[in-house]
Amino acid sequence: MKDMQIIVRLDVMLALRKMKSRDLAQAIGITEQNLSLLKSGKVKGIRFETLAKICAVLECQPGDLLEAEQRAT
Amino acid sequence: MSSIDKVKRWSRTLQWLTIFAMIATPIAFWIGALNIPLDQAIVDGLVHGITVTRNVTAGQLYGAIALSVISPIIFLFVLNDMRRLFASYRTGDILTKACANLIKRIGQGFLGLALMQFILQPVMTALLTMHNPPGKRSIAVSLNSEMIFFALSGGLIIVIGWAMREASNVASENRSFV
Repeated sequence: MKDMQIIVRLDVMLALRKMKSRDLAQAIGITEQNLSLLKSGKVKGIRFETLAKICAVLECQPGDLLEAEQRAT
Repeated sequence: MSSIDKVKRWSRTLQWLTIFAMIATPIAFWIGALNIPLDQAIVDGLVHGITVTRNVTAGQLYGAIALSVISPIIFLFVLNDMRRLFASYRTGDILTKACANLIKRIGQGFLGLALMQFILQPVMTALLTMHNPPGKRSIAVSLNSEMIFFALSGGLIIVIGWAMREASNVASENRSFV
C-alpha cells in the first residue's frame, strides 16, 4: 500500500475566490489561528461540519480543498 | 446551566471546603493531643479490646502516637490533591492529564488509608502489648466496614482516574480537529 498524505489546498481556493483568511474564518465561525493551522496542514483532521461550511462559503467541493498525495520518502 | 458551569460552581465551593478541612484537621489533632491526658484508658482505647501493659514506656507511647499520625497525614495529602483538582475544575480545565492524574492519586490515597488502618492495627497492638507478661501479648488484625469502604472507594476512584486519562487523550485529539 502506498504511503499517502492529505494536502489542504485551501490557500489555492481562497486565492481563486479572492477571499481573505480572516473573512473566511469569520464566515465559518472558527478562529483565524485554527484556519491558519488548517491551511498549513498542521491539524489531525477536519470536521465534516467545518468542511461543509468552507465548501458553502467558497462554493466548491471537498475535492477542491483536499488532495491525496504520495508521501515523499 | 450547562454541566461545565455546574462543575465550576461546585468546584469553587468544594475547593474552599477542602482548604477548610486542611486547616481544621491538624488543628483538631493538636487540640486533641494537647487536651486529652495520655492515661491508661486512652492508651487502651488506641487498641480496642486489648489490654495494654500497665507500664507503657515513653518509647512505646510516642511510637503509638507516631503511628496514629500516619492516617491523618495521608488524609491531608488526599485533601491537598482534592483542592488542586477542584482548583483546576474551577478554571474549566476538566479533561486534562493533570486532572486524571490527580483523580488517580486521590484514589491511591483512599486505598492507602484503608491499607494503613489494616496494617497499623497489628503494629500498634504489638507495640503496646510487647511488655505484657507472656501469654498476654497480642497482635490484632481487624477488618471493618470503614476499611472496606475506603478500599472500594479508592479502587473505584483509581479506575475513574484511568478512564479520565483516556478521556483526556480523546479530548486532546479532538482539540487537534478544526
